[in-house]
Amino acid sequence: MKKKFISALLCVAMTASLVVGCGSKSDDKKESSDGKTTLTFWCHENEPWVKSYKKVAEKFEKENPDYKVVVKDYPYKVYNDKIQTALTSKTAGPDIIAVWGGNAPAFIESDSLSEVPESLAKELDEDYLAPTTGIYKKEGTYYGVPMEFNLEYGGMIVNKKLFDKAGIAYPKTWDELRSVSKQVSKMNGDVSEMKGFEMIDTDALICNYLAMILQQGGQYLEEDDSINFATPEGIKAMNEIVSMVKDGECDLENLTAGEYCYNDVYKDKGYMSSVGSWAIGEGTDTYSLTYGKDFEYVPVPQYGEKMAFASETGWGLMVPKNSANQDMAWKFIEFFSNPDNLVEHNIACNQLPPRKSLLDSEKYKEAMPNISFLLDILPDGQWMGPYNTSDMRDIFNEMFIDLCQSDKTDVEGALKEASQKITEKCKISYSME
Amino acid sequence: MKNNRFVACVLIPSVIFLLIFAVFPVAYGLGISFYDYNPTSSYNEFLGLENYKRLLTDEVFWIAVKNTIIFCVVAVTANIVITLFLAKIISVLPSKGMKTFFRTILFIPCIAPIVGTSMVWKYGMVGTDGGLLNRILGLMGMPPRNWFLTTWQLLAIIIVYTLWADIGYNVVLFTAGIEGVPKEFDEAAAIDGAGPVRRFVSIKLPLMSRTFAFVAIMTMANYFQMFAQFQVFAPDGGRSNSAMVLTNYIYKTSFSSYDMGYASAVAAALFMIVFIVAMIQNKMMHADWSYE
Repeated sequence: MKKKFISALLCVAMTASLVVGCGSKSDDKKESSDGKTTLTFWCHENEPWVKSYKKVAEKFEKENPDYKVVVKDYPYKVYNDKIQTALTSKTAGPDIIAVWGGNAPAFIESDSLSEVPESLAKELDEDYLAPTTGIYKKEGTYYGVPMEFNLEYGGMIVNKKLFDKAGIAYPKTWDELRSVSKQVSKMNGDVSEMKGFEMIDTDALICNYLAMILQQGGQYLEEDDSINFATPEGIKAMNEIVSMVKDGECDLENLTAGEYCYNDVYKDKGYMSSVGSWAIGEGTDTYSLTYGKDFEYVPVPQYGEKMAFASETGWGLMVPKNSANQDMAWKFIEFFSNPDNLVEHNIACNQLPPRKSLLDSEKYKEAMPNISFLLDILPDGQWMGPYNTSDMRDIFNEMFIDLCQSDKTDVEGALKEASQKITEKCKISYSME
Repeated sequence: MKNNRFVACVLIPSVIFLLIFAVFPVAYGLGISFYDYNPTSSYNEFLGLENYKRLLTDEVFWIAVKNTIIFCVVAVTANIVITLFLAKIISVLPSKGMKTFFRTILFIPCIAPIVGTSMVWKYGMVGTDGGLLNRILGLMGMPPRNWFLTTWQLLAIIIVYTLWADIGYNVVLFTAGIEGVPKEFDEAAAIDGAGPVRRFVSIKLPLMSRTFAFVAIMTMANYFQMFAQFQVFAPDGGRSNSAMVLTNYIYKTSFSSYDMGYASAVAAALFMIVFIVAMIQNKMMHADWSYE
């Protein structure tokens, strides 16, 4: 009898532990022990960015003493999966999510996000540059608020020490750039031992290529928003980039390893790398280098006659529909987007401001003299287009590697095929207007 | 009767656990494969068999099927041959201490997290800049290579890594299998004049059929589901998808393209392949579970 009782008890305990493990606590309004309502802010790991988010959160808490903002950061590799899981959850998810524009469509096409309030939406229409808001709109409604102007084109990190040692000045024209690049680079087999000008990584390659098309007066977006790289300008630009690899100025290592080219410059293995201004922070914080002594950030010489480039929507903020504090979350985003706070965040993160009204900001120019030259070109940018840019890059990069690796000279055919694939497979399923 | 009730009571938690964490997800995944599924949407369109029809014309899917089969056949065969050889060597070592020492050495990579060791191999062994392979090429006077630009070579590297990381388990199983064969058979064959190789091939190996069947089926099923090393070495599938396997394609389709319905159809195809292969293996290796 005793045995029977014990076995029945054990059975109940085991079953109960299963049920308990699967349960969730009710958590509608998340209140901390001090009685404050908690807003959870999710972002990806990036030291200066997280520091800045926390600073804005502190300021917000001072103005709203009943609220506490908890900033949680996750490695970028798992971040999007976490967001997706959180959006499917009924409870206990984040209230505010920082999202990379390239990944935003997957979340926007669902109905799991809260709409941007009217007052903020009006600001987005009036004061934000077009490339910064493009992806956040679905059928005329905004679902995200940009924090930055994402520009992967326009500036390059240069290794000052290597330039000084070689007694060479920074190139000012495209021809000078290619000439310096050829002069300083050194190849050994497949591998470049010293790289000249680098733009061949997952982020920079397509951005530079599109800029090169547009600067020649060409266009890659057709009227129906389909992609066509196989234009005379597209073919010329592609031949130019392929020749950089074939001439041994750089290699495909970063593209195949999924690394950024600027790392080579910081590691004294490259002279110049085209990258967004955000990479300056990596040099000073991650590599502990000194700006002005070890490296500098200067304009990339223009390829064509007029300044033009395409940009994808960068990092922005969203509020999930399952947040129990949607109104307050939007209030936080409104606070964050306030020009005074936003410009401080952009400065802290080496980002470019997304708002037109900040293009003349003295505060920004004073704090960021090294990248203020980029502010002048921002109005020349167009939105990259309604595409899943991660998948677009996969197809584009594969085509590029094939062109570099084989003796195949049918650049036009390769561009046509890639254009068709991208249009078929990567176009966003919803309309913007 | 009393005993039945007790057994039922003890089994209930395990059955509930299996239903919730094994049967339900498989059934749910199968259900998802008939939809244009986005977990964050409240409405998902029913597509019927569209996702399965798409599989038939998806070039990358068929490359992934081919690579998965090549990987499994080559890696499982190599694994069994190597582990059997090592197990035999260990079994003839003179002292128990030496046997334990070698078994432990071979088992260490199995304890290490596969993502961590894959990273070490990716950058330390195969890395373009200063990787061991390129250093060896350098010593032979050859220029370094970017191994991630290769096709079949990258898949071969992943197979070698998998063997390094995984042989410990099977060495332990085969050692136990060899030691489990009654010594009388071996001794009788030795008296009849059979040499050590003949005794191993004709006596021990057939008597180990149950261990052999278990190892082959489990390793094959396990290798069909290998994912971490592919995600580390070739997250995009490598050049021209030469190292794209079904598990990585499922991950890429669901978490990069966010096409979860289609990814579930690919997962269902993988499930069917593993199931069929396991059934065939089971039939072919019908083991006699006794030494009678």
